Amino acid sequence: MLKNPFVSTKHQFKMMPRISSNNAKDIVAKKLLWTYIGYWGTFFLWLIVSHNFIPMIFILGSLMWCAGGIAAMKLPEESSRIANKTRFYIFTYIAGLLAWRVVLNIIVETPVEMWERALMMRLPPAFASSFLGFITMTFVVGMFMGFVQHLSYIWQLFTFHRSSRKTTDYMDVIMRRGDEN
Amino acid sequence: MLQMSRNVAIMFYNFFVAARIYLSEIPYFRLGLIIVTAYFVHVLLTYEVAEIKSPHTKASRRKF
Repeated sequence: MLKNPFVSTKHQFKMMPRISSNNAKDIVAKKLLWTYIGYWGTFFLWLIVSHNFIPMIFILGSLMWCAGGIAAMKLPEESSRIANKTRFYIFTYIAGLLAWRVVLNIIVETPVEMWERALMMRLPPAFASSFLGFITMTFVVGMFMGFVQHLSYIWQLFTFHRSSRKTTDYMDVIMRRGDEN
Repeated sequence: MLQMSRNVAIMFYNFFVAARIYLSEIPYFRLGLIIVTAYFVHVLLTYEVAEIKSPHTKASRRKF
């Protein structure tokens, strides 16, 4: 018997979940669009911003992306969460650097008299230099800490994951149900 | 209209000129790092897209 090529029954045996309602399709399409825009937008924002800072920012951001990608490859159960968190961390890191530089510019251009008037108190003449040094040092610290925070998140994923035998061994010892030697 | 379309065409061409100048100026190390990072961004994006497209077969549900 000749099979009609225009009547396909292949879709009836698919195990893939199919979305039946148009409303759900619209929601999925919107989510996908925002995901694409979010990831590549964050990537290009990171490129542009790191081009306007010292090269170290570029390397640190690149390491953050790569660490997130490797962790998502190694831990497939947590992959989507790792991806989302990596994007969020890098976006906040870049936005924070930009915002902090704007704040720094405002503070640098404000004379001590203005600060005296704003705080309603007399300030020593060394205030300007010391305050500026403090603010710039916080900028430098934040520049490293954003990177360290993301790396610590990745480190936690690997250490407290159930594939890591160490944690369950400790738990067995504590709960007295395993090898206590 | 003609002028506007010409301007748009020139802008389109200038984008490639600017990209060529930018790519010729940046060192190979930086370019390589950009490519590697773009690959990892693509990997993370595919995980997120797979999660959105098939929420019932996603890897995060197959824990146990």
